[in-house]
Amino acid sequence: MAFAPFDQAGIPVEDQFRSWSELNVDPLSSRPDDPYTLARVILMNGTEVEAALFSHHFSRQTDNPEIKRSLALSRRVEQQQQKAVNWLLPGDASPLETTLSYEQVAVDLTAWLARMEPDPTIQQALNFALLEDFDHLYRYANLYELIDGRHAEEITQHLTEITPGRPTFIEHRHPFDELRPHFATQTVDPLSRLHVMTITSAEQQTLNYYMNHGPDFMEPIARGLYAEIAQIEEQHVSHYESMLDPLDSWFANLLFHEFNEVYLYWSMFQQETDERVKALWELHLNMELGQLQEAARLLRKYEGREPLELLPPELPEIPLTFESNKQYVRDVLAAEIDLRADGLLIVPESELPSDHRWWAFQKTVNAGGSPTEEIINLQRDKQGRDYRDETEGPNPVPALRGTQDATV
Amino acid sequence: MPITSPMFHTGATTKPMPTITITPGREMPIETLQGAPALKGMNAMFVLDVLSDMAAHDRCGRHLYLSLAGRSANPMLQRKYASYAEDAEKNIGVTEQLITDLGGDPGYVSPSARAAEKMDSSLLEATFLLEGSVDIMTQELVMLDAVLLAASRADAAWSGLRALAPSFPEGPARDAVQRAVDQVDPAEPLEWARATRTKLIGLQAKSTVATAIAATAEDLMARVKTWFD
Ligand SMILES: [Fe+2]
Ligand SMILES: [Fe+2]
Ligand SMILES: [Fe+2]
Ligand SMILES: [Fe+2]
Repeated sequence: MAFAPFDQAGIPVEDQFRSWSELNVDPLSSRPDDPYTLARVILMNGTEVEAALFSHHFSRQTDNPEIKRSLALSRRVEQQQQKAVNWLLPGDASPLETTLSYEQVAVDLTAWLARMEPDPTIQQALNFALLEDFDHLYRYANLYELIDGRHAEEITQHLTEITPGRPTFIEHRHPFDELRPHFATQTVDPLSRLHVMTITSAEQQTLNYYMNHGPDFMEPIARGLYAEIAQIEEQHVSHYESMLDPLDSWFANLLFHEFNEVYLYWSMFQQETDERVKALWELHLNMELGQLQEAARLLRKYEGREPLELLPPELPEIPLTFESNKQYVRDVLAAEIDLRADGLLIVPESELPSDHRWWAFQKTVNAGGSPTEEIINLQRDKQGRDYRDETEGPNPVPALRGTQDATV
Repeated sequence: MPITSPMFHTGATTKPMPTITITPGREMPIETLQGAPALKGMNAMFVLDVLSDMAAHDRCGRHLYLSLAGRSANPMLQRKYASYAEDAEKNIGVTEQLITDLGGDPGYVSPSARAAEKMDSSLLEATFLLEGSVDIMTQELVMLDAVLLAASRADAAWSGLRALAPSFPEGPARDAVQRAVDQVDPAEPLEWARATRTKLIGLQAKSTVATAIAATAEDLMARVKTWFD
């Protein structure tokens, strides 16, 4: 059942505006039946934020009245979409509870993309950051128990395990080492392009969320934890965005953004279990189809290119899917925990020379300890253990097992 | 129909570089480029890279001309740009045939082809990103300037290949190069662009419409439409 976006007119962009009452949607419950409904909301919010930010950046590069107006029109709609999507988030969930959902998204989105990714270098980049977000979930879950006395499994519902990954304090690397090789726009599998665009938006929104919500807390440990993990999300954004090909023009990028939004709403629509949210995904899919038509018109007019010169006529066959990836994450953790970044390469720590900038950078930022380690120590002092949700057995890395020190 | 934009679905390939990751199956091995039998005695990889960037420039030329044909307000310029778009398409085919004749892959995209595309797409962008602060007469000149620059690059590339023809191995390779260069007249668009630019500058320098305080956009548009009549 191949879906051909360019054969669909969608809703004309001019007809896409909604009233405030339509945007101010009733929120989901903070404990929805399916935690992946929240995951889909978080992913699509990040996608809409990226759509609006990209459009702003493009708009700053031109004074062409037709282009500026077209961008302004679509962008206002993207912003309405962002409200309708993000306002589904439950008002009775605390920023920390939403953070736990963000990291669940990071784990199960990244793992699924890695499983499907055709390019081994991109797959390796996904696996690499997967272990880091997996560890963030564990650190935040311990903060949740410490300050709220609750268990993160109420939110993740045992679909995603909670146990140490690559310990966060080890994830800090010199900025030169967060840059990866990029795909070439001509040879890249269209699926890889969608994957890189999707994960870049998701990481960027996670970064934005932590940048803004870190100071919401009174507890110094919470503020410290957000500051430290936000810096890893900055690394993740740099890591993923560096895989995009800088050769793509503004209009090609606009087309790719709209195509990706079509793919993602189409994907979310297929899996949604909440009927009300499913209807929203369908509406937004039809909006994105209209926005895609407009991006195609601009590409044709200003660049003399047909959209089908740049994109396949159909969406990928498999919708992007939120599902449990426990075994995959375990396998990657067992095999790749000791990997580090060295320039454009990812190598075992044992291959880093002793004068590598990684060591110096570690020493600088971790001087005086790291909040992500401190939270576990506080938990152990208070509870005599850390908090974990290991549904499939002990951590696959012996050094990360039990209540012993989580450092490797 | 030649490949108008080499992409994954057209079978594009590229060569390994440390800064680039290539989807499996899409890597053009260095040895294959270096070992093209038809180019024995030459720096085969360099030759194939250059031909790839010539194809890239003609592909971008086709896009440039299609865009301008749709955006110029002057009927004569529209027709000319549309016919150059057809010529560019033909030239892509000629280059692709030459690459095939020399044992190369017409879907191969060399690093210099990527650089050519960046330069050409920036040139095309310059014809529309600042359109809001350029009057419609000057806008025609901006588009013509893009043609002048693109045609000058194409002329340099094709005359360079013509000059290089005797250096190709005698026999099928040299014949193929000769056949290709004989099918393309790169000087014509360049001469046309130069002459038309001179004409446009002259028309505007002597025009009173553009300087009239009361001239409306419609007046200017009417003037642009009747240039060359
Ligand atoms: Fe959108
Ligand atoms: Fe994270
Ligand atoms: Fe992340
Ligand atoms: Fe959109």
